[in-house]
Amino acid sequence: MTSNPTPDGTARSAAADATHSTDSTAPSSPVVIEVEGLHKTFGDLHVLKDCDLTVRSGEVAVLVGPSGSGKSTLLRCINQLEEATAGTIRIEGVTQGYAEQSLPDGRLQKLSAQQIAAQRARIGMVFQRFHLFPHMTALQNVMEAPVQVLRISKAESEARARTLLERVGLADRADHYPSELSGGQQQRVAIARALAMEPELMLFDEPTSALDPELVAEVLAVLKDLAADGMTMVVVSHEMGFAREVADQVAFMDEGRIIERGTPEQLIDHPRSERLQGFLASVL
Amino acid sequence: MSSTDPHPASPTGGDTPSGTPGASRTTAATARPADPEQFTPIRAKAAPRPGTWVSAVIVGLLVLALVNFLVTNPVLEWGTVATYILDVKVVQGVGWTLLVTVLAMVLGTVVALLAAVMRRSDNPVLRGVSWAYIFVFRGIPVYTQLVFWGLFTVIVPKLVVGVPFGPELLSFSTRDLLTAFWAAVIGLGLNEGAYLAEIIRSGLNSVDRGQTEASKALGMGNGKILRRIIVPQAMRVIVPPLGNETIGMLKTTSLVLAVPFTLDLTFATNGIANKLFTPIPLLIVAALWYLAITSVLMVGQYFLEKHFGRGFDDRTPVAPRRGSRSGRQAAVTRSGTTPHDPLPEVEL
Repeated sequence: MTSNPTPDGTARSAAADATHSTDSTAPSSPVVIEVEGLHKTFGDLHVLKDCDLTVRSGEVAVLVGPSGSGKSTLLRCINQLEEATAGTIRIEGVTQGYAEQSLPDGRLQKLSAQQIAAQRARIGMVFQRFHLFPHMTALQNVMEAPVQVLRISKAESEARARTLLERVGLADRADHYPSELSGGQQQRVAIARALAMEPELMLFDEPTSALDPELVAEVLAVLKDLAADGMTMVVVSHEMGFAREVADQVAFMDEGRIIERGTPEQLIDHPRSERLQGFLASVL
Repeated sequence: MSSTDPHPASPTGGDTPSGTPGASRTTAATARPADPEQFTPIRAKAAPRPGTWVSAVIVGLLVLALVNFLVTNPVLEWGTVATYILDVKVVQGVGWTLLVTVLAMVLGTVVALLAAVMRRSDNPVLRGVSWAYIFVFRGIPVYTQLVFWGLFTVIVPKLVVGVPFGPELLSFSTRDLLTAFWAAVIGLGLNEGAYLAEIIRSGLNSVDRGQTEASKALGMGNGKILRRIIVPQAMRVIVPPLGNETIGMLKTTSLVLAVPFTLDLTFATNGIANKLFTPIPLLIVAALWYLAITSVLMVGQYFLEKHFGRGFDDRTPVAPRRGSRSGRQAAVTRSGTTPHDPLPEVEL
């Protein structure tokens, strides 16, 4: 992102160096996402069990694991699309969904819908099935939230949207409706739409799973470009090549637990747990 | 469709008789050009469809019989029809009928949208209000409701703004505000709103949940999500039944004499018929006018559907480019040779 280059650009390279030493994170850069003891249940179904995740500024964290292991739910909890059952989520030190001060009787005070919307506005999210607004052109899709939420002028938002569409290689598709774009193009518009809010971090929920194999590369290229620019990212993905190349840390999830965490080298090349070994054998 | 089509011949191009099928096949196979871009379209005569001709003859005979009946039957009095179809009272009646229809539909749609949104709300009070409104106004016959609205000034002689059981701050005489015209509009509009609420609710529910999630993830509030994202997409589903309801409303306006509002088309033609003792020609006058207005409304519906269908209709891409994915799909669809029907819809 051009908007927040201050600590990220430098922190990023430090993080990249650190990955090859011992620890998965660069101790110098500030923590952006802090998930502690997160549980999520849907009725009797225990989907997330005691999950911890720390992502520092400029880091790329990739969540891998079999389907149904809770990766997407963890991502959706970070963005408050799901309400956590237990545990805390902090973004840049700010508790998500609840007031910092607990009530005199020890309970937490839930935030209002507006306050939660304001917290979400700082987090970009990209979905597996794109979810572009079908009644708007690519340009209008990217312009919508900055005009409606940040109350930026239409002219300014359009200029920013055109720059972003150019960045994802779709400047010539600005006036096309989503139904006239390929899956890969739609996903790139969706990334531009999320970037238009100038988020502090980006969440990607299997961004390439709904794409034809030949279109995966164009979306991954945009992700790599973002990572190189110092964007803090959490990516749920089955693309092991991408994880190896771009990730600073990889977390392997199974049955709601984060079983292994570490650098791509540690996890992909030297998996410790039997489950991860089995998973890698089936994916690679 | 097929006139500009350069690709494999459609069955309608059967005017050129071909030789024996075996012979033409072999020549095509032997003389295959080297360039893969070049090809000889299949030349074929259309398969015989005798059903078309049989039905054409039967329907033709029936139409002739109908025309004969319409022209020769003296009871229809076409002369009277011609005299009164542009009668001042009739034309004014058309105007009033249209005005009542449009205003009642606008009121009904606004109320219905509110009721549908309230019905989906997390707030149990609003949900209850919406349920009660739909229960009452859908459950009572519209004729009864219109009589009630006509008597509203008797039931509620004045409207008072003030503290309940306390002092009055403002008061209005309803007789000055609620004329027969507005009683008709409000009566029809509120009744219609109760039906439309269910149509709009199903339209709102038809929008993919992912749309709400994507909007939430962008930090949009519930009101904005509804207004900017959900309603515009729901309109695509809502407009066809809304057009249906509008045409229904056009005809329901003939009940406004229950208020009594006495300027609409049916009342005007009935009045003339009673004066002349010739009910049949004036029924024809009314029927022709209702048909004419319906045609105009159908044109309006077409444009509304086109507006709200933008982005969904892949038959009219913005700029189909040769070789592009959308351009290719558009060409496939245009040729009409593939039964491509992702969203089956009845076309007018």
